[in-house]
Amino acid sequence: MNERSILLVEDNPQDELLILRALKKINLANRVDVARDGQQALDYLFCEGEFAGRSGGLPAVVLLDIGLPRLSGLEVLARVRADPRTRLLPVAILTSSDEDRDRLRSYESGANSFVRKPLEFTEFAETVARMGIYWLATNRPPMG
Amino acid sequence: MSSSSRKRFILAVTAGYVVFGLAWIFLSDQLLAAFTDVGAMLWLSTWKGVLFVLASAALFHVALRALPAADAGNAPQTLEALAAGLVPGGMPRWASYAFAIAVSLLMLLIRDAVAVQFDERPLLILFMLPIVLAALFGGFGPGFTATLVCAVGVAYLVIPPQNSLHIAESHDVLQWVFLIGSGTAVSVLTELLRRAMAKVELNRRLLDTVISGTSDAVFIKDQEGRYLLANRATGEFVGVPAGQMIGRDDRMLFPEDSARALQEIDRTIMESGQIQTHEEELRTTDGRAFVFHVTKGPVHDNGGRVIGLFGISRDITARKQAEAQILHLNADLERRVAERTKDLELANIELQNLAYALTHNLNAPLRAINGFAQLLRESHGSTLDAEGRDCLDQILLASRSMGALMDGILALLRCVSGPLREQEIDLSALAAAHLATLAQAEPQRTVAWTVEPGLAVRGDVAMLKIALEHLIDNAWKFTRGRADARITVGHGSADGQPGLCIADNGAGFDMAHSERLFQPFQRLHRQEEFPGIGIGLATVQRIVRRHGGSIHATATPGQGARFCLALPGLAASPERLHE
Repeated sequence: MNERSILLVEDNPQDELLILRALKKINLANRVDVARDGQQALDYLFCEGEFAGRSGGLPAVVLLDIGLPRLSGLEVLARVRADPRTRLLPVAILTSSDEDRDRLRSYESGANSFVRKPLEFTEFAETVARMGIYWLATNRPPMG
Repeated sequence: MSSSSRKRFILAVTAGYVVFGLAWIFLSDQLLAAFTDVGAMLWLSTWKGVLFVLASAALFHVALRALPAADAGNAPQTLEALAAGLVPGGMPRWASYAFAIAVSLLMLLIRDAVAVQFDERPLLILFMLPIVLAALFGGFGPGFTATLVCAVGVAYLVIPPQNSLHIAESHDVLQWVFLIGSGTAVSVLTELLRRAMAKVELNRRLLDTVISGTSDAVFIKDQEGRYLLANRATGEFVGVPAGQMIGRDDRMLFPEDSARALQEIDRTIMESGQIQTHEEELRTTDGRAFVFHVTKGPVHDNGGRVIGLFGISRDITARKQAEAQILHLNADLERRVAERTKDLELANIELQNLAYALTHNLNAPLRAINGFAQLLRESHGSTLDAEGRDCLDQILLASRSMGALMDGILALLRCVSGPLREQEIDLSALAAAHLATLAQAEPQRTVAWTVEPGLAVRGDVAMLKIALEHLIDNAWKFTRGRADARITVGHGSADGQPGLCIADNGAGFDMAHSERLFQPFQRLHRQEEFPGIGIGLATVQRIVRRHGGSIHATATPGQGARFCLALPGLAASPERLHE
């Protein structure tokens, strides 16, 4: 496995805990960086603001929630797609919503995947673990 | 006066005058011939002329009075005057007979008094006067009576031999017969004249009643636009007594713009020669505004040339105002309905958005409750006692059912508000596929299920799939525990309409509670018997309603339930699918 990481953009601390817990189970927790709102996520990706000195390049995938404070998930996605540096960055939406509307808009905005957070934790943990493995190990990134 | 009755009238007057004149000439010349004395001849000739003038003047008087008034503008008054004195001898019948006899006897007396001077000549011409007068004032009966009285009187008193009805001389007989003939003819002609006049008068009165009495303006104008006739209503609308309108045109009666508009319309009608119905908006000089429903047409002379124009105008101002008001009220109502509808739609959308947001936002805390309870059980289950683990199980159970509730609410919301994407749906295939899936998922259950092929309808496949599958899920659920479980999906009758029915032989329910069946969160079974959230049937009903259909349930506790969907356009024939 290469050294790429996952950027988890999640404002709900409990969801964050549960996701980290699920990834920890498959020993991937140490490769997750967390941004707690949209602006922070962009700062992380573009190495700006509090992440000005960050090194390590782009993550293998961004797990992006839709309902976020400051910049919404779809706005973050739009900025990511608009910037040449992150234009091809894999972005997977991970959200509570199961609305057709949200799904459609996510794909229209250039999401690579859309996953609904299952309510049942067993299922939730499985889903997150599968995503972690898929994006870090199975999926071949556009560059590098 | 109609032209045919007018012609008859003229004919009667002319014929009457000819008969009267001829009779006079023949009889009076006979009379003159009897004289040798020039003085007596002159005297008689003068009196003969005077009598002729009197008699013909009486005849002319009657005839001329029957002619239409030249000034038709004063029609009502003129007609009334005519009506009072038109038919001479408006006296009772007996009086006119008495008059006939009296004038006849009077003439016999006069004849007797002047007889000496005439050398005992009969002078029968004198007796035409009483006959004519009697006929003129009483018609045929009195005229003929006067003729008879005169004839008998003359024969008895005047014609030799006197005091006897016998007539000696043959030329006297001729004169006597001629008197009777003339008298009878005059009586008959006068009677015809009277009848013609009465008819004319009747027509005139009827017309006058209509024209004077109607609330519509009735008028006639000449080619220059001057009023020849205007009824009372016309005068009231214009604000001038109708009599004063005669001879004046619209420029003198209306403000300039209205007058110009009227003259323009009148000119068009007189040029086209067509009768036309239209609306006129007029302002009067005193500032009143009217809307008239007008029929105007040309008036022709005998040669067929247009010599003027008639018009009938009905005041529809009030009706127009009412119409305008109704239009205004309707527009206002529509605007208000649109406003309310928009408000309602906005409120509805807001409520739905709220429901969505609520449901979604409850997801995260619920996932946390479920997740951490699960983690607690996994990681620390060993340090908890049985009661502690049981508590955790209840928390997990509760979070799961809450999750199911929220999914149910979201599904219901989607079915109520989402768009309908219509397409042809093979319901039989959907039902069979779902039953097969259920059977595969629970191989330990034996359920005898059948699906009638060819059930098809146009509708939203996603929604109808939810509805159908939910009803099948219910049938599957409520037959649990029956060794001979049976589920049939097929064509049936729902409330008199063709429908799709899903029947089972499961737990059923009490029909007394059937009205609660389709309300959200209403359940007819205890959770531990048959778990569920009680929102499925509510969703099914909304879906069916959105497809213009209805759902009907029948059941017997312990024996099964039958749900029928009446769906417009439902086909039961397999051919439908291949059309």
